[in-house]
Amino acid sequence: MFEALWHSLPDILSVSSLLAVAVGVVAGIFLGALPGLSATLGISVLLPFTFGMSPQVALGMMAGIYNGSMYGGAIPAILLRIPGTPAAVATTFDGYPMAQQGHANKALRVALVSSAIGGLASGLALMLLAPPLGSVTLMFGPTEIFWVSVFGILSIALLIKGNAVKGLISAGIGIFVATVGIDPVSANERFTFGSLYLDDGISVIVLLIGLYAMPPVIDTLVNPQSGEESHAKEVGDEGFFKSLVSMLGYWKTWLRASLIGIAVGILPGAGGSFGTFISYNEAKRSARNSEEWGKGEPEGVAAAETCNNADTAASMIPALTLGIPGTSVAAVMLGGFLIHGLQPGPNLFREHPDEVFGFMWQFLIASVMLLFLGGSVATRLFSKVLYLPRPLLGSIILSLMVVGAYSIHETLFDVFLMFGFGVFGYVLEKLKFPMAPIVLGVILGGFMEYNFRISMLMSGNDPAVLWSSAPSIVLIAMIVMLIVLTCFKQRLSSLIGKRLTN
Amino acid sequence: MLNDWNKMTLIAGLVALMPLAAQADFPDKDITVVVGYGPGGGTDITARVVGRYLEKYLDGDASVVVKNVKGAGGVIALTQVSRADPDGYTVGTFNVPASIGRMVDRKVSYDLDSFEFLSSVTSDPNTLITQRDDDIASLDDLKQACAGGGRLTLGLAGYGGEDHFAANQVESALGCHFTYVPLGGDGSARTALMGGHVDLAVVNVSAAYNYQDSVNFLGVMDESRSEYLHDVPTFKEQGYDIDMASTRGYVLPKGTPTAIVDQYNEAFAQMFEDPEFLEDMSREAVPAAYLDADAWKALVEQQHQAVLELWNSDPWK
Amino acid sequence: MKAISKGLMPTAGICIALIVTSTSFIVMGTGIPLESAMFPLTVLGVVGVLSVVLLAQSCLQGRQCEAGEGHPESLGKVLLGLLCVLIYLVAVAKLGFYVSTFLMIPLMSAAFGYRRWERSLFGSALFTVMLYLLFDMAMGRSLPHGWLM
Repeated sequence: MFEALWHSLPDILSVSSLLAVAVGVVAGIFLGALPGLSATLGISVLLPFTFGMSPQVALGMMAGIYNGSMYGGAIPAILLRIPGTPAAVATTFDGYPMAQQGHANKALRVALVSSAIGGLASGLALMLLAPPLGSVTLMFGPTEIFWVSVFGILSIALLIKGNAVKGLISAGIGIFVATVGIDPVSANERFTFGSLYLDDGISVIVLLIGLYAMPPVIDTLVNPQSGEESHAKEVGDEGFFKSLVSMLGYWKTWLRASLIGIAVGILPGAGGSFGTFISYNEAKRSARNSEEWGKGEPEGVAAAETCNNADTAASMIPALTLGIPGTSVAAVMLGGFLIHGLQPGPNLFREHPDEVFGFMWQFLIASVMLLFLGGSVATRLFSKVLYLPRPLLGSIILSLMVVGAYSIHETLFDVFLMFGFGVFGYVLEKLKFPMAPIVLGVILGGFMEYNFRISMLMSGNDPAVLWSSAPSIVLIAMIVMLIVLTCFKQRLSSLIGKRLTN
Repeated sequence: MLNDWNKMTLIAGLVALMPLAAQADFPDKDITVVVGYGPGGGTDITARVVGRYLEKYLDGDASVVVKNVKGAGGVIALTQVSRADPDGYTVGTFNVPASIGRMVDRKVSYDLDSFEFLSSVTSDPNTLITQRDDDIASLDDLKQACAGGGRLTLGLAGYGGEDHFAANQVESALGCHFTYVPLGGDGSARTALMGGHVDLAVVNVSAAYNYQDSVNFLGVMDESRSEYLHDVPTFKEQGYDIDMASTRGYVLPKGTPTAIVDQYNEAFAQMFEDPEFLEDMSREAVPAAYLDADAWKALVEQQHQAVLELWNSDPWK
Repeated sequence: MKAISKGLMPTAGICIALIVTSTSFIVMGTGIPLESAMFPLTVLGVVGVLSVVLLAQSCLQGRQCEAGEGHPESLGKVLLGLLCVLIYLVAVAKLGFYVSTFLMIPLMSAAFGYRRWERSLFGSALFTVMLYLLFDMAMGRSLPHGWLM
């Protein structure tokens, strides 16, 4: 295998291949950074053109787009609190407060370095462990995935700050939205109002654009001079290497987030993006200063951004070995492989080693390039956005929201649906309902229901199936541990708190 | 130099010729193939290969553009095609029996009479698989297991597709009772089987032949053996008359001028004479198989009848 | 228009709205076969109950909290903003994306206080043409076209 790895390297270092990766990274950063556009969109638009390209160039560009867009999503999340992708929602928690305090550049740098590290870890996992990790995927049937989603849903509870009832209502709304459409288990329409456009359910991207982008757009329009603005314009500056040194202390978070990202990435059909919530929570839980989290802690940005790049290459593992992509981006990238006659499966590595191992190299190269291209080109350009007059900025974002909502299914229905969610989101935001549980509810709600019902179907309604396999038991143990530790920590800190006040 | 009169006659003559010219020069603008599924899927890849050769054999200088209108199992795309101008510039993809299944189990605004059926270009037979080290390694084993009254779970992509209809036929032919587990796609069904989460799975040959090390093929549901799986007997060879495949073909809106329909049919026929086309199709692992307009229409009608009967006797939702 | 800054009224309002919506969805959902309906209806039930709890909570807490933290925006201006957005979306559907976007950016900016026309017109033209080149020309994925284009 290592021979094959070396053998594929010269091709990858050719000018055309390197250029393709570079173009992909830059395009990806833009796609991720423009609210509404996404890597899935970019790659699916690119696919038809790759017909005429050599596979190496096409795959390299896709690897670049995937990596670039995951970092790109952090830019509007930090600067404007508009996550470009669901995976960037957790980046807003600390990234936006940092920007508000005048540390936008620092936040962007932390995001950039963390993204590159996550991407590197993921690329290495793909390169060294793809076949064995592919068989790990096989162990994860519906029951195990059900427990993973329970684990994810539990993180909602930890995300909630302020009024718990509001947080739970938000989560409930999200979970309900996830059930709209054709029920995947028994094919009945649920809450579709007879509309074909709702048959496939509500796209989480449409919801995300509406909920997260509409309130700030309305605010930028309505308050041309916002009080918060004074600080936000100072993006702050600090030498790149100086800031890099100060980041070295995040190594634990980087490592943990990478592992979580890879683990979630290889799960079949998991949708990847909820890994960032788990990663954020785990990092916060183990931090000494966890009260500071959510108020502008750079390590929070690191936890989220490392994780969302760490599932990029990892989500290609089940796609390449088993033909089942872990995320929607991986799904369209799999299409890119198919278009070039590269059929997923065990034979892929035997029959097309140059393309496959070359693709793995390209993933690594993309991560390294991200560090340079992202730092110089993109970040400098995008932090200028804050200097645009607010009404102008608001209307430009508005038109991008339309582009984003429209281009998922190329229907205006989604555009108006997005508006509906936008109005709803505005009201909820003003009343201090948290948004993140809604997004997480949409991502995980349907997933949890489907896997639970499929488990029951397979076992003939015998609940014992839920704890009958080793991975299930491990997951249950982890869930129990999480609950116990959280309660324990709360008890402990409230005890300490009492001591101090008494 | 032309005087006014001459100009007039020239223009009049051109105007008179225009309809004729338009007829003769089809295509003179871009043709759109509306694909009901996302980019990178089987139907999309087939359409893109076919599109290239349509450009070649329709003898115009127009290009063929593939447009993905995914959603509602292809219904949104077919609705658009059925309502498009019948001028030959909008082509739709029609998969049998999946598109028929959607006509039966959803409220759709079109029927078989809304389309001109052109040709079908692929045929991907179904196959019944078990895990490599499973006790059930042949149809006889399966029949015995079923006779013992064992409850078996069967993974499939979803209800109302060829895998579902095939599984239904296997049940009645071998006297089995399966618990259907819809897994959302061929790949997921095969993966669930390989992971031991279901006992059996019905998938297309193209989705499984790459995994011969991990699965047993109990039989292929086709007239003859598959070129991808030479050693696997057909259901017919084993005494069960089960024949099920996913075929992909193309339709035009009803009312398209006969001359244009003929032009398309000729183009499809020529395509299958072209070794380059067949080579391209096999490179994408799409099993090419040609049915001309009449044969395909007959297949569509026969399948429609069968699906309707099944729906009436045992609706799947 | 003072209601929005009071806090109590809107929270109570949204609670009632949520209760009504979830109840009507539950009523609608009774037509769905049980196995499919069970999960969404349970979730709706929970949302309904939680809304009742929140309603009670906000009534008990009375007027003291919840209010005051948000910006004292006037409800009228917000509604005007939303209306403008809606008009733009309808224009996208009717006139086409490019024309409406080209018009919307300067008009919207002017309506909300940025009146340097030459800049906003230039920016808008540049932006729209860029999107056109990117989507309709380069990627062959057209954005909505309408009467004008």
